[in-house]
Amino acid sequence: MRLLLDQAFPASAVGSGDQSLEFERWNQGSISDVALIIHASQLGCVGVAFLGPSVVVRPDVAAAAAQYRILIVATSSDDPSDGQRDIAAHKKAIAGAVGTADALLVLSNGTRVIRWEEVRGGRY
Amino acid sequence: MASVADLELAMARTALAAFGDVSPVEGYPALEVWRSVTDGLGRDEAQALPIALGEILPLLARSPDRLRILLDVLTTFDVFESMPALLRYIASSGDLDAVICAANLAPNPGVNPADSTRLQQLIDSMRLSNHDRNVLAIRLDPSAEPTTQRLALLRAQLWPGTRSGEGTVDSGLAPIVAVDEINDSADFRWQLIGDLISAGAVVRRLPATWLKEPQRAWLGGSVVVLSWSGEAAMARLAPFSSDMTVAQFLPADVPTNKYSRERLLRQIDNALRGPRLRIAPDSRDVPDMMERDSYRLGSFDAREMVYLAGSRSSTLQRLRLDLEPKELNSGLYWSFNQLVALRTWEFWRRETGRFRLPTDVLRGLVAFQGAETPTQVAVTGDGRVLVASGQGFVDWKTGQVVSEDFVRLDRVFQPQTFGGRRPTPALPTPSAFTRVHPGVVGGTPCVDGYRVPARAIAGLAMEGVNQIEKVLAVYPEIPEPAILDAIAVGGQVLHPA
Repeated sequence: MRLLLDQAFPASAVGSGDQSLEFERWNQGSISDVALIIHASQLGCVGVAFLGPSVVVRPDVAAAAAQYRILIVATSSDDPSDGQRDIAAHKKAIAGAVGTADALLVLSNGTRVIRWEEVRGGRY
Repeated sequence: MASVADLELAMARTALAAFGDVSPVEGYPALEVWRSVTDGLGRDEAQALPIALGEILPLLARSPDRLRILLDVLTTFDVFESMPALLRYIASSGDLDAVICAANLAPNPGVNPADSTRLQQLIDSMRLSNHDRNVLAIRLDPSAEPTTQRLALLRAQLWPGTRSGEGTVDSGLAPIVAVDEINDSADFRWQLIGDLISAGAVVRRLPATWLKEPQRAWLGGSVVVLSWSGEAAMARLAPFSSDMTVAQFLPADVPTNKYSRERLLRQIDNALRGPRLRIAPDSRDVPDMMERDSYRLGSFDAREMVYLAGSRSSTLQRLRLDLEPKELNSGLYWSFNQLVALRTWEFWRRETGRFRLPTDVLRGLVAFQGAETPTQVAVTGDGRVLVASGQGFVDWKTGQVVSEDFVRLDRVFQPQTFGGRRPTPALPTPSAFTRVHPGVVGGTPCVDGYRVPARAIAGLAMEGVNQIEKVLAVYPEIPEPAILDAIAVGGQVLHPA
């Protein structure tokens, strides 16, 4: 099972994976967030990890994730090192969320399953 | 370890195979051969390539179609190192196409002056028509007078320094890109030149070592010089072209993949004055930021809104009801149309000095940013939103026709420097190395060509001394100048007004 890490994660984050969840890091240029999800699908990844939670409120990201059956993983921290640490620490929860959750918010002390409909408000 | 001679022999074999495979009548054979030969070359092989191409000249002499392709390759890719081999071939064959090829290469400062002299002697000894002599003279001497309009165009292309003024002879000319080879990498250079030729450019190589000074007309105000050597390239070229400016020198890093090569090509295109490159639609799949759909994208948090809209945290808090953010896990996020509306509102408040501009203007602006139908919108000094209708503008709420002067809101996207507050950055280019696109990493300023937010880089750099080393340890793929720039931009995102 492979998770595509966004380029905002440190290059060394790839080494944090193991047999339960392998990490691959995007390093092929400035594509859009939706294109990253499509690439993850083409690469055979089960999900995409973004640094920071803001991606979860995006309707275009939600639509692409649903269409390509990709789990969106977002760290609550914007800091690359903290994000890498939190993702590495919660590999089991991430692998368990594949196929059951729309998105997973990864905190320093746990994870939180996100349903797209719970994102409140906004006039997009 | 292979010797230089071994490498040249191996490259000659590779090149011969490529010439054997290519169809002489379909597509663009010279480019196809070039791509085939340069794909996957190591650095040493790449350095051996020019000599190897010259050495196969006599071997292709029995196949006129393929010889023509080779001569086209040598000319198109400015393979001046083949000049000695060309001269030997011309001396034995008298082939006019080979003479024209050599005349094209002769002005390159990497060509030995003795070879140029030898070429002229060979030309003088040949029985040529007046037209052929004119064709060769135009290539060898910028002061030669063109006898036809076509030759005048050829001179303008070959000797850009002879062009009489901006925009006068651009029609029908190809853009010229000079590649400075100081500190470059031969393997990457050949691929980049292939990209440039594919994009319709004429390429002029500037070898690291010159055997003669370039003629003044060989460069000019319309040429872009791609350089890996910073100011050294400017310093050595400045004496040979009085109308070249700093803006023509494009500093480059060594792109590591197809996407960064595409990005470099776009930078070159943007730096060109006059004829532009033919670049295919962006394979990175990022929609134009100013397209309607882009306005619905983005998820800017409060700090990004304050920085990019030129607003204040307290103002954003006050406008929360008017801007209707999305909420997740106690965080608030706004889309690009809301960002532009706030930026417009702030711009207008500063422009008019009306700091109590009604907030319902803001709601009106949000409605029009990225609306289904493109609409020209204006705001009056007393805070009314006007919409283009027929020949004039009408009040958005009352429908009343309004006829008064107004400021074009295009200026909203330019950098703002009002008052004593921190300047508001331009959109979509906050700085030289950062870009904003609402569809890329939620719209936060990122290093151009990378999906790495400036704020993440600034956060790393704030952790102590050795900023660059710290960032490079995390993002080794990002060049140092971009890191320094991103630290400055990211610092302002993290600590807005």
